Order: sequence, then C-alpha cells, then structure tokens
Amino acid sequence: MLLKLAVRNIRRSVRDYLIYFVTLLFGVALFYTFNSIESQQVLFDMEETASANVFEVTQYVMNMFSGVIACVLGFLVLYSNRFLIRRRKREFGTYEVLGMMPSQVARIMLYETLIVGVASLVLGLLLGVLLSQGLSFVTGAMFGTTIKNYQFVFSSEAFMLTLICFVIIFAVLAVFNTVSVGRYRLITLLQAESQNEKAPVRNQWACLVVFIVSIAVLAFAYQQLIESGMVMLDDPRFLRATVAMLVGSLLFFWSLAGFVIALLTRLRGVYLRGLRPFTVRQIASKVNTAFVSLWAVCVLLFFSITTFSVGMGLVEVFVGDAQKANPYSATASSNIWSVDLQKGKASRAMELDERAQTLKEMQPALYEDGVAHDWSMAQKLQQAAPELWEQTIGSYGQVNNYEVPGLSMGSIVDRVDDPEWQKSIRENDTIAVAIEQNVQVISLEEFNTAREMQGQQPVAIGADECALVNNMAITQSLTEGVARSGAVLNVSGADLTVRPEIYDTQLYDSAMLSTAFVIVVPDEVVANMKAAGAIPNTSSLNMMYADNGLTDAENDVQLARIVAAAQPVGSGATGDRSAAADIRYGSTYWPVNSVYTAHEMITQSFGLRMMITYLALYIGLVFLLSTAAILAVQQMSETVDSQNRYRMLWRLGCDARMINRSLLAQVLVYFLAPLGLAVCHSACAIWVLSNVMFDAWGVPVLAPILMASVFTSVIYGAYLLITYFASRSVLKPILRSA
Amino acid sequence: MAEITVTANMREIEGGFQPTMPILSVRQVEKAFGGRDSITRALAGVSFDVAPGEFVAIMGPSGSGKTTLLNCVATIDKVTSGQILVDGHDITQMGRRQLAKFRRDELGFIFQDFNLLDTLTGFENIALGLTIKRVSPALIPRKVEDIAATLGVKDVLRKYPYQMSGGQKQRIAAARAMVSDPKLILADEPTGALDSRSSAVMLEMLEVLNENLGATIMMVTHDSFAASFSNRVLFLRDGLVFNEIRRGTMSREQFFARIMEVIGFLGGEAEHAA
Repeated sequence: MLLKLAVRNIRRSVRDYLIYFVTLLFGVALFYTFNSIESQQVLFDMEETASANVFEVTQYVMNMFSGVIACVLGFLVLYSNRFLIRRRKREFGTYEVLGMMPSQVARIMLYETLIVGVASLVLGLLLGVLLSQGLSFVTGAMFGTTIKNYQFVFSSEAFMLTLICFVIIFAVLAVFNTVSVGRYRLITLLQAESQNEKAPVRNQWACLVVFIVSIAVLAFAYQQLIESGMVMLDDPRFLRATVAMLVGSLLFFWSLAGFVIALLTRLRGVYLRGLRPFTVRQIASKVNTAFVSLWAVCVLLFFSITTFSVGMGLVEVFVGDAQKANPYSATASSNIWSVDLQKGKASRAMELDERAQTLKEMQPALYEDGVAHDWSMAQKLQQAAPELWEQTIGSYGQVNNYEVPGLSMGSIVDRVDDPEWQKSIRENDTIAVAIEQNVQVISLEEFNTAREMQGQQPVAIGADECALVNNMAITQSLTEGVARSGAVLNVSGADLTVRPEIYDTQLYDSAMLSTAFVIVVPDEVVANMKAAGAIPNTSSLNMMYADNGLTDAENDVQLARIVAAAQPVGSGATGDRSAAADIRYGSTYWPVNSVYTAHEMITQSFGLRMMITYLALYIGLVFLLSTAAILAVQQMSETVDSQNRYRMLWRLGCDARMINRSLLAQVLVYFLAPLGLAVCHSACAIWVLSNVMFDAWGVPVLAPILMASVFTSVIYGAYLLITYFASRSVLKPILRSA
Repeated sequence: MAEITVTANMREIEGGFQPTMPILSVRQVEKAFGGRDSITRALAGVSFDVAPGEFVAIMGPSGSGKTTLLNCVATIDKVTSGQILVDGHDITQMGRRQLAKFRRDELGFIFQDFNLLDTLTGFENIALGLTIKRVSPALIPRKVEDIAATLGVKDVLRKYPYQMSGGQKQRIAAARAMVSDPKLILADEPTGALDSRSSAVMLEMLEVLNENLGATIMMVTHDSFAASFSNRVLFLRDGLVFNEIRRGTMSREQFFARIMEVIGFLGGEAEHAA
C-alpha cells in the first residue's frame, strides 16, 4: 500500500525529482568511470611492468580522491533531498491528518528515495560503463597509440566500490529522512505554505559601503596575488591574497543585492519596466538569504576552474614535449661539477683547471680513471661489458660541456647594445637566478654528432665564429637577443663572433626540452681549453639502441647492466639512483651518475599526463556538478516558495511569456553571479600563473582554458536549463488555471 | 439611483459612448464543476448588467457561487456557457494571452488577503500595476504618488508590506488596482481580513474611489455592512440572481436595514426549507 503510494508520488512529481535524479546519475557515472581506469590497461599492449604501473598509480590516486568525492556526493544527495521534503511538507501533513503514523510517512519517503536511488544507480552505472569506454579512447590518444584490439571493459572493482559508496549514502539518507519527518510538528507541516520567509532587507547605505569595501578587498587580493606570483605557496603575500579573496567574496555577496537595488531604484527609467521590479527584488531576496551558499559555490567554482586549467597546463609543462625531449634511446650523464657542491663551493669555476683540481683532491682514483679514458664514457662502459655493449648499443656520441671561467651570461648581456632588451632580461626573475653563472660551451664536432644521431643536418661555423643552441622557452629571448647582436665573445682567449642562427637541438634525453643557451665553438677552442687543464663540467653519452630484436624496455635493462658492470653498487659518491628497470647501480661523478632512457621518460610522462588529466577532470567535474546542483536546488525551492507571488502576477494580468522571462532572468542571474566572480578570480590566478610559469615554459594556456570553459558551459548549461524548465513546470498549473 | 445614472450618463456622453451601454454585461452565465458522474452547477444562468460608475455588491451565502462569478468576470476562471461582455467585448471568447492583456489593461483587483508582493516596497507594489502595462517609466512616480496621496498611504510608500498595518496594506492594494485607470475594479471580500475600524476606512475609501474618481466597482462580500456602501446589491443563491435591491436615495443606514431584511428573509426561507 505504502509502496504503491510512493510509486504514484514519484510519477506525479517526476519534475521535482529531476534535479535530484540527474545529480545522482552524473555522480554515479563519474564515480564509476574514474574508479575503473585501472581496468583499461587490458586494452593496451602492457607487456612491460613500467606501463602497467602507470595505471596502478593513477588508480591509486583516483581512489584516494574518491573518498573526498563520495563525501561531496553524499552531501549533495542530502541537500537535494531536503528540497523534496520541503516541497511536500503539506502533503506529509495531510497524510498524518488522515491518520498515518509519522513512521509510515517516513517509510513512504524511504520507498521513494529507494526507487529513485536504485533507478539512478542502475542508469548511472550504465552511463558510467559507457563513459569509461570513451575514456579508454582518450587514454589511447594520450598514449599516442590507437586501440587495436578493442574489447568491452567492465570493472567489477569499480562497480562494487560505486555500489558500496552509494548504498552507504542512501542508508544515511534514509536515517536522515526518518528523523526529519518524525521531527516535524503537524501544524508546521500543514501551515508550511502560508509561512512566508521574511526576506532580510539590508540598509542600502551599509550595502553600498560594504560593497565598495569588498571590491577594495578583492582588488587587494588580486594585487597581492600578482605580486606573490604564486611561486611559493607559503609566501605571506599568497596567504594574504587567499584570505582577502575569501573575505572579499563573502562581503561581495552579502552586499551585492543591496547595492544593485540601491543603484537600480535610482535609475527609474531602467527599473520601472515590465516585471523588472519584481524580478530584481526576487533575485535580491534570494541572494540576501543565500549569500553564504553563493559564496561557497563561488569559491568551489574558482577552485575547480583553476585546478582544471592549471592542472591541464602543468601537464603540458611536464610532458608536452616528451617525444621531442628524448631524441636518443638513452643518455648516460656524468655531472663532474657536482663535486664542488660536496665541497660547499659555489658552482662557478674561477679557473679553467679548477674542476680538475677539486676532483683530483676529493676522488683521486676517479680522476685518474677519467684521464686514462680521456673522459670518454663510451670507452669506459664498453670495456666493462664489451659483449653486452656490442649487442645493445647501435650508435653513440658524447657531448661534453665545458665551463668558461669569467664568461657569465650577465657579461654577455652587457655586451649587447640594446638597453631595452637588457632591462627586460635583467627583470626576468627566472633568468636572474642563473645570470651570473658561467656559460657552457661544446665543440662543433660533438654538436654535429648529436645532430646526426637525431637526423638533423650538420652545422658549419668558421674558425672565429660560435653558434647558439637553445630550445627552452625561458632562455629564448636571451638567446635571440644575443644571436641578433652579433656580439664578439671571448672564450678563453679566442674572440668568436656569434652567428645569427639559433639551433634547437636537444643535447641529451630529459623530462623536458632542456638545452638552455649553450654555445657551440670550433673544435680547436675546446682543444685549447683541455690543454689548459679543463675537464668537462658535465658529460652526456647519447646512445641509440642497436636493431637487435629486443624491445626498448629490454634494452633499458641491458644498458643498466652495462652501467652496473662499470661501477658496482656501493662504489658511488653521490648515492644510489635507480635507472632503468629494477637494477640499481652505484652512482658516482664519473663515468655515470644518472641514466635517462627515452622509453622510461615517455612512459613516465604518459603516466603523469594521465594522472594529472584525470585528476583535474574528476575533481573539476564533481565540483562543477555539485555547485550547479546546489544552485539548481536553491532556485527550484525559491520558485516553489514563491508560487503565491506568481499567482498574484498572473491575476494582475501578466501572461505566461512575461512570467517565464522573469523566471529565466532569475535563473540566469542566480547561476551566473557566482560563476562570474569565480571566473574573475580564476582569470587573475591563471593570468599570474601563466605569466610566471607557462610563458616561461612556452606552454599555450588557451587549450586548457577552452576545455574548462566547455565543461563549465555544458554542466552549468544543463543544470540551468533543467532548473528553468522545472521551475516553469512548477508554475504551469498556476498559469493555466483559466 | 437617479443621481448615479445621471453622473454615469454625463461621463459617457463626454467619452462619446452611448448613454445606455453597460460596462459589464453578464448574460446567462453557467459554470459547472466536476466530472462525468457528478456535476455541480456553481452558476446556473446568471444575468445582470453594471453601468459605468456603478458600485455593485454581490452577496450570498457560502456556496451561492458569488466567488465563482467574480472569478469568471476576473477571467481567472472560465465559464461553461453564457457570455460576459466588458465594454462590449466578449471575454469568454478570448485566448490566454488576450485575457492576460485584458486583465492588466481593463481590470483592477482588490483581494481579501491583500496580495501584495512581500519583496516589493509599497511604491513598487503600486507601480507594478503600471510597469506591466508598459507605461513610460517617467510617468510612473507621479501617478503612484498621486493615487497614494488620494488613499492616504503616501507615508508608507517606502515600506515593505510586513512593516505596514492591515489597513495600509489593503489601501496599497487598492491603489495598485486603481493606478492604471481600469474600467472595472473587482473586490473580493476586501474587508474580510480587517478589523472593524480598518474595514470602515477601507469602505469609505471605495466610496471615494467610486464617487470622486468615478470608478466602477464590483464587490463580492458576505458582510452586510460592507454591502451597504454600494449603490446596488445583488443576492445570489444556488447559482442564480435571487434578488436585487437598489439604494436610490436611501441613506446608508436605511440601505443597511434593507439589506438585513433581505438576508433575514433568505435565512428564514432556508430554515423553512430545512
């Protein structure tokens, strides 16, 4: 009997249930989708553990966040449900007048919750399963591969997790409903409709003052934010900006309605037209009562938009150029200069033979070994494991960076005759850090070998010329200025004219494009420096794997074995570092203290990209969903509570078109006010970040911002429309009664 | 009655209308509720005319159909059959949008529960009657202040309904009904929610509207005292006009006594029937 009543109730109030249902549906679908990422890996060729790891790690992080997300969704369900109860207080009152026990009424509510809950759970899971199929293709695109053997993926783990989560949410909901229905007094239930909330009316002058203060506080927040540059999050300016932003936004929403009313009522020509006075007052009373939720919605929106855009931007910074940054199968590096760090000295050599002297003093054996091999890492490694080397390494080339004492970037900048450019370089914080360091030079021969290995044409320069290599965005303007100037540089005695071309050759495998203002000099110049006692500051041995039928991952293991043979575990001075696969080897200043392989770097960057992208999507979408749902529920309750007002308007002779237009204006303003402020905040934050980071790393921020706006428009738009049409249908019986 | 007819005729001649044309003409109006099995006829063929400048009260016991009649004239409800002509236009044949336009252009409402919008100030509540008619904003403040001055509520224009007394609210509502110069003011138990002092003020105000501003008023009430302020009282019973009395040259007290007689007769007959 009660069940029948519940079913009939739902059928009758389908529209009321719509927001609740849609929210649950999306919630369940997102929850399932992002918890099923791990199961996608069956679609890809996962013969290597490293790649499988990527999925596991991503899934782990997702699961961690799912806890938070579940709480958010739970809150949302309770919140939307409160609206349903509110709307039907009178109905419950009638049941009780007819002699139903409060517990029976609660049971009707429970049945209704269950029916809608189960329906949205089933449909949500279906949608989730479909969405996760779509997501696999996105994953494939990120991987840079297409899915060859497509199969339908169903994650029973994600399914169970979703099920458990939502069963818990429904259980809490059921308890909540029972308690709240039981707690209402009959009289309040029956008189629910006639109780007219007294809208707080604020003093106009107070609102005016507070509004101006709020704008000032927000301006202060933006100014602090811009000054802090958001580089260090523990910067007191960043903290001040955060607090000012929160306080400013709260004051803004507190005073917004009063301010607008004060303004509009003075502009009678604008105000006294059609239903405007009503529409404006309606919005104002809603904003005044719900300013705290509007504030919360605004902050959440700001957070999700920023997280999303910045997250996606960061992905590009970290992994955007993974392919280009790793042109070689592998690079073994040796950072001899770091011995100076050990000694507590500045990393700036004053004499040509300073590095050699330090190494000789601190690691005499290593120094002797290096000299014996003429600092050729290939020779040393080849000797250690000749057969493995033969089998694994196809071609190789070493790039030795020599430091030129007394030739700092700053001194080169001074030599360029362009004051404006000099000023811009000097004022760039990122360059300023390194401006007094000595520049690095490499020999033309080594440079051309490196170019040849990645299929680039060799370069020719004259005996009294040098050329610049750069592929980092941070140092691009510096390099361009110097190249343009045709300045003459003194490289340990030789006067070399800078050629106008800039080469973008990546000199070693790395997480990102990392050739920063390197100077290519004629071979004789380097030979002279060596003769004067210089040893390489850093050396990179770039290798291409032989065509030996092994996979990249297997070759990585072989390479690690070669390195391990050259320098047994524990022999190192800078501690152990893991290189390829599982083999750990002792690291030292020479011959090898780190190995990067293209396969490893690209897999890692893929993993990072997947994780950040999905996390940004997950958090961004759920927050968007929550805020939109909260606004929708609030606006719906407002319409329901205002039915008498609309009936009045209708009697006064407002037709459906006028009333619907007013309704649309209300919904639009109510949705767009918090969004507008959040977009302002986000724009400021993203602008600061893009100035500091993205510009520096040469990443276009437009794409993630565009994506964020598409998602925002779709979700927000959907809720806005649902709210509008549901509100309309609430008023339909009123507007149709004639 | 004579004096009323004279004033009414005078105005009509000035306006260029035919002197005899009623502003409201209700003809054989029937209204039935219910479905196939049980039909209740709230109005069973009501007919009457209201001349311009008249103040007509409609009385009758609960269930006599007086509110249904008002709702039908107000175009809030639809008749089952019959015609209602306002200023010569048959409102029973109008579409929904036309009706809305008709309501805002031709009618003014005063309800028992005031029906002011609680989020709007007194000024805005009155102005709403004009803004929805797309009256030029420049003209609105003046009109609102004039009518508020006439009805003695100028000092509450800046207040919200919850800051006003019942009488003030009702007068604001009357001002809203009047401000747009409607052809016909419909009042549904306007004193129903007021204490006796406020009721008297309210009714005197309706009298002022009628006599000084020339408003045509149709008022539904069950209160004989309220009805005694009108020019003519129609008694409704079981969906039909049962009786009609005109005030003519009677004083208000005499008219009140006359109304009480009719009600007494109605009650007696009801007892007799029981």
